Amino acid sequence: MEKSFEGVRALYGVSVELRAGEVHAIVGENGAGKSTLIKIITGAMHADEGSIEVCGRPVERNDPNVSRALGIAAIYQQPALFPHLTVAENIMLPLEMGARRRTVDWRSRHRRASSLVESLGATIDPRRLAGTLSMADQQIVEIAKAVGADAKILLMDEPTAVLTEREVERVFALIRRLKADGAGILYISHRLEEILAIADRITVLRDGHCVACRNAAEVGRGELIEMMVGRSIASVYPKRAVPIGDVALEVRGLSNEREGLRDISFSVRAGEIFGLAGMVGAGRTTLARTLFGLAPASSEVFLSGHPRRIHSPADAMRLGIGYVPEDRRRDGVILEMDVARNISLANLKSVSRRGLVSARRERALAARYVEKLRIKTPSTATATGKLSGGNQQKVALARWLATGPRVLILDEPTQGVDVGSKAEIHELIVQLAERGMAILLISSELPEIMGMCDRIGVFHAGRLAGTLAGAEATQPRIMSLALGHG
Amino acid sequence: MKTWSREIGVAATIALLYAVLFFSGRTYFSAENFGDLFLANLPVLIVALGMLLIILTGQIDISVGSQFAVCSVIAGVAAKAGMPVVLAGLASCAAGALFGAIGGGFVAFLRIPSIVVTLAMMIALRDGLRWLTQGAWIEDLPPGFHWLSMTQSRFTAAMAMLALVLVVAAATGLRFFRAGRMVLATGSSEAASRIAGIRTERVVFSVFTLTGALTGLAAALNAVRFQQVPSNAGLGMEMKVIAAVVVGGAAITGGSGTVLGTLLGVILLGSVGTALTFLGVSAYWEQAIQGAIILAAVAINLAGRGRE
Amino acid sequence: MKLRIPAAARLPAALPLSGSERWLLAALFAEVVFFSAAAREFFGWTNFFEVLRFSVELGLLSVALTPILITGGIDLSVGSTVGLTAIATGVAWRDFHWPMGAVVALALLVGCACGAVNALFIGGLRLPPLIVTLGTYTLYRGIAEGITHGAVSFTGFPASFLFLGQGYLWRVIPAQLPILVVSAIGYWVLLHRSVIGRGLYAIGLNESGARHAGIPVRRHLVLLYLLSGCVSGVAGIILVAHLGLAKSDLGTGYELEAITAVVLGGTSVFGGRGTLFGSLLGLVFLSILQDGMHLLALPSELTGVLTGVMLLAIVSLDQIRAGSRLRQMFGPGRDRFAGARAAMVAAVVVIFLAAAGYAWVSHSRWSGDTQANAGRLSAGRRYVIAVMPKAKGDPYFKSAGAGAEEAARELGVDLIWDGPTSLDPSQQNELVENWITMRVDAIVAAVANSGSMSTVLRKARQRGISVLTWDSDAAPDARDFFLNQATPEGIAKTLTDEAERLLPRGGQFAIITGPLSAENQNLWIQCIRDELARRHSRLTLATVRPSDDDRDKAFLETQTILKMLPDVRLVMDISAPAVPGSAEAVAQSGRTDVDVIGLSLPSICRPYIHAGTVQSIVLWSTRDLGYLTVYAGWLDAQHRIAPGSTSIDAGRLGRLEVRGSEIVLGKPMVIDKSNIDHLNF
Repeated sequence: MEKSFEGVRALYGVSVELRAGEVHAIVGENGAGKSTLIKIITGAMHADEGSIEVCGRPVERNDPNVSRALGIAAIYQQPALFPHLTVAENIMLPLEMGARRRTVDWRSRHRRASSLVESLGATIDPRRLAGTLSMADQQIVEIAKAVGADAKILLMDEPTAVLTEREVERVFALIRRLKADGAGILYISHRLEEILAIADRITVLRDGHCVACRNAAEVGRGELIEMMVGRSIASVYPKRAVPIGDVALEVRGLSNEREGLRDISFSVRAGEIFGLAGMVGAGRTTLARTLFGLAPASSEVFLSGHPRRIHSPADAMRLGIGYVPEDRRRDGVILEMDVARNISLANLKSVSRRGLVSARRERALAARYVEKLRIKTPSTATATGKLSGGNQQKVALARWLATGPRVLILDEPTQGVDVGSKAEIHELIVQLAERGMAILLISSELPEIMGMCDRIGVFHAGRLAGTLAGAEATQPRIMSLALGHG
Repeated sequence: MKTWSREIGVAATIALLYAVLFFSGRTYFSAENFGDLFLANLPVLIVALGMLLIILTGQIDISVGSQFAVCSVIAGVAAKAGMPVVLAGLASCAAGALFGAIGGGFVAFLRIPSIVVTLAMMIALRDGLRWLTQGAWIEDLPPGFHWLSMTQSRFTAAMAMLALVLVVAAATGLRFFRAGRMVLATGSSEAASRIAGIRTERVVFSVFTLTGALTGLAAALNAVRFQQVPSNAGLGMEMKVIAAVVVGGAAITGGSGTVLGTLLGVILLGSVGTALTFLGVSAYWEQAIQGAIILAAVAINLAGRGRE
Repeated sequence: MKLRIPAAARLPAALPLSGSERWLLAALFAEVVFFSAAAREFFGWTNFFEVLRFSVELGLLSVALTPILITGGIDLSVGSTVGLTAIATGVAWRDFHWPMGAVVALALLVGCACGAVNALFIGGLRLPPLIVTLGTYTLYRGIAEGITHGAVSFTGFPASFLFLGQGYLWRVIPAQLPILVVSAIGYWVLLHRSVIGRGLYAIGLNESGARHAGIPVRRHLVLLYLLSGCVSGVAGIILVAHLGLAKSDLGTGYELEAITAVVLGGTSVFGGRGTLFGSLLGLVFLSILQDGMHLLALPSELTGVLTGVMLLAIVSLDQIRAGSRLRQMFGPGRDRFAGARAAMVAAVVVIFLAAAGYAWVSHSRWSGDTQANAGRLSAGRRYVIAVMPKAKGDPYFKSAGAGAEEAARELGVDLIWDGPTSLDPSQQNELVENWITMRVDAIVAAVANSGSMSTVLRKARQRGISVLTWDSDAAPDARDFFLNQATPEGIAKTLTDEAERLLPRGGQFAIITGPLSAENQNLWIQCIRDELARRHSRLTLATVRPSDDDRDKAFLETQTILKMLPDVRLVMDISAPAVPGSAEAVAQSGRTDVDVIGLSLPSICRPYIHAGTVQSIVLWSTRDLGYLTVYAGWLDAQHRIAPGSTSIDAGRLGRLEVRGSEIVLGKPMVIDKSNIDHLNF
């Protein structure tokens, strides 16, 4: 089975060929054109020029229904499920859309959905409403959908971003099985380690052009990065030794009954980067939200030695805590607002006098941070939604830096960010530590955590399973703590 | 897992109300009274079924009252012009469908918020009707108009059958037909619907048109209970219909709601009015009590939803 | 790295003229030009300020609603809050006898309390605003009705208080205008300059994002809804001062009018977009539309139709622009619906042009219609007689209108027949004000609320306009003559005599009236009670139920009466649409022992009289009454009714008796099987 494609505008004459039974990875920085490519293949968007061929036959007038009928299925980073409908219906409704029969057989739906979910090794009750599932479970449902569609061409856009290591392994096993069945998989990811593990061939996109197409076995990480960025980047993390100061944040026996956090105790000093590792759902983001006042805490938090109660984000901000959230597009920035307004939003007092906002000071503040963080934007009055993911993240970061926090919580700060911006953000984090900020870094990328942090706290099922520093912070040790084995 | 807690709550409230009525020893419980209550609330029930669909898709329609008035007049005019009564009724349905289609077109294809579109249509239809009729009633209707030439009790029985058919059809359609599931899907998540290949514009357009047709049907069935057609029938009924759907447990944001709940909502709000009179409570407080019921229903609804 | 800030991309912070505002400004401009050309009294300070005066209450509501809509919320309860506050004012003044200062304070407190309930449910419990305010919209209006039993009308406020709503500062500026100006400025600062305002836009665009940025969402929402209640309270107080009257139905429909103004002004109900300036533009547009239409003697309903069409048109046009803007922002996509969109816009424009064209044609046809005949002024100008029914859309008044048109044709005068389209008491006042501006020759009004109308009718008299009332009177010093179709005592007597005739051995009967607040009907009920006490002691009045002039409601009420009060043998309907409703209910219940009588039109009661369900109805010739309104108005405008005269010559009606300042049409007649077919009204 072959698939070739050429397109323009965001893509300049890109050709990709996918063979049956292969995993073909697409890598590239943000804005390189990967999402556009996916949209064109699924029919959500139209190419200006070029053609799509499936099994040698050209595809005329593509749209979501046509592409589905051709056996093309797409899995995106954010699960798009119907929260009010059951898991069984979520899986089956899209599959039924092309069928001729207009009625619904609930029993067969249930049966099929159960079998699909089981085949992924998951235990999700098909009668649950999808809105009540965790992110990871939702993603599994998405994959079940694709599998159920008997898709022969699978497009996966950052599917593992919200999965734990074990779930990733399960997905990879599934991918290998699908490969053996003759399906072709187009796999987009930023996680180069994963790509090198699963892909057969790798195509590198840069600025809308196809730069190279290589066999995975013949190329290494550094070379890949070079091709993606067009320049050589040291693939080490910029962590350097930083003078550590007094204890800035201390947590003793913190719990959040409703969300399953239990008896968390740790401390972070000024200048220290404290990493939080663990499986998705282990409680790291819950801890962050609790510290930031978005969720109720059971006990006080100690800041610079003083016990404080944090009931709301306003309390947290007053105490010098900042939080860059995990979901950038929903919580980190407001897409419709311009860059200047986003940056000043958390610290309007600094650009206003007696309750009235000064637009001039706001623009000046924004300009300062645009320069400092090297945010690529036409102007500070541009809507933030127009920027690339990495630049949006920088805007989110700038917002919190503008508040001058003493403790900064970063939740997956480089998730979905291109390699170039990633490096810049890492450098920035180290600079902040140098300036005496205490930093909590939540990340699911072990290399990132290991490379950036002084100490690492490993979460498991709502508890802090252990704290590692220096030589003992090895990948196997972190993993075993995260999995709950002592 | 879908819980029926909201519907049970409404049913319990109705049971409580009827228990109070029973023990106060009044003559509320007679076949005649229930027959009258049924006929009086039949239009609300029919329109509420359509409104449920609209609310399930996450939209709203506040123009149904004005549509009702216009369709009543059209039915009367058609009958007076010599059309057989059944055709006059169809004319009323067709007119309602047309209005629904216009509103639905603006909402679905131009993506204008439904509250704005239906607000504009409500004002335009209501004042347009007043302008054209200047308050005149349609009189001298052919004798076949009244009760569709049946006797009153036959008519009531026929209407009961019709109501049953409509309720069962709505419930079945929503549960067992793809079209019904598409309605729920559209309201639950527009993005996911689009990805699944559901043409959400068509779904929204269809529910508005269908509700318009139902409104026309309700208007015709209401008109034949009398021997003339006034020019202001049903004005203001939209609030009652929406309240019934919401009290019945449907989420105003879409994606969640049942036909049973809507039916119970219509029963509850329809019973309150006369119940007050029978209990000797001053009827001046009826509207205040209805408002309190709506607020209570919303609060309870959301408390239940939070627990899920 | 150097940063260029292109001038085009820079958003001016204070007055961004969005697409929709541009359209609106253009439409407003066109509107002013059109009306200035078409209606000679339009373009002047007096008219301008009168327009403003009538916009103040609505303006306050629009201003308060704007930030609420910007956060993606809505408040449907503002109109009901106005009503409840008005009642509080009335009760505190008349029943508690508090000094005016305390009265105003209480009213403000009530408004804030109403806002607080919304704030609690929406800000505190985070329930959906649409449904919560739907509930409070019903609740507050219901409380107002419950307290006053729907009937009570508070009047008699001190002149110092009335100045707030009716007085002028420096002789031109309406006294309540500064309050609106101050509120608008305050809200503008809040929304467009303050830190809070920035947070409001964030909440509207993305609530979760706003919360994560530390914006105190709950606190802001609580503030907005609380303020909304307060401002509605202020509007209620001003409205009472304006009309000189407090009733439970004040403010009906205001919420939808205010929302129309705000949305017209470019605010999106989805939130995140909108300006205060836009809302004020929308408000001014609607007020001018209404005013201009009245000055052109075009019917009030047309304003409603045009408003609906304009709303759709402006929002559609803006949406199309927004659509193309969005496509530029987020990348290209195939627009399958470009054709449908264009068709929609074309349809809206065509409808609008058609309506405007029809209005223009009918207007010019009207003035040219009446044939030249007796009665022309020597200068060649025709008399303009303005007649106002209590409500349009009522068959009783429609049949009177036929008589009025007949007289207008016969006399060769221009007739303006217009009246309010809703229960809102201020509509009658507004219309009279417009007629004063137009300098009509005579105003003949059926007064719905004598407390509020008397003031404005007096004003008309001062300006030299002949003022008469018909069907329902105002204060005697506010009009020259009252055209009485029959005295209330006469009506009561005829009705009770009929009742006695049908229940010779006495018994119970029930009365079904129109709205509980109808003054003349309440007067008739009082007279009926007097008659019962004096001459018909064997008849007992069991209950009085309202039907709001709605046939279907009368139907329901009669059904209830038949079930609850089985001893009632007679239903007396004193509202015209109620008789067929009651008759139908009696017929369907099979109670042949119950009779129905009442005041109603033969045309709508014919089938029931022939069937025997309705024994008889009492009325006067509404057609004749309508005829008299124009004829008497014409006579009075020429000062041809000498003071102290005891009779006048009323065209085809012959000689009519004049008792003091009342012109009596005649006695009410009893209509039954024997004579109904000879009547044509």
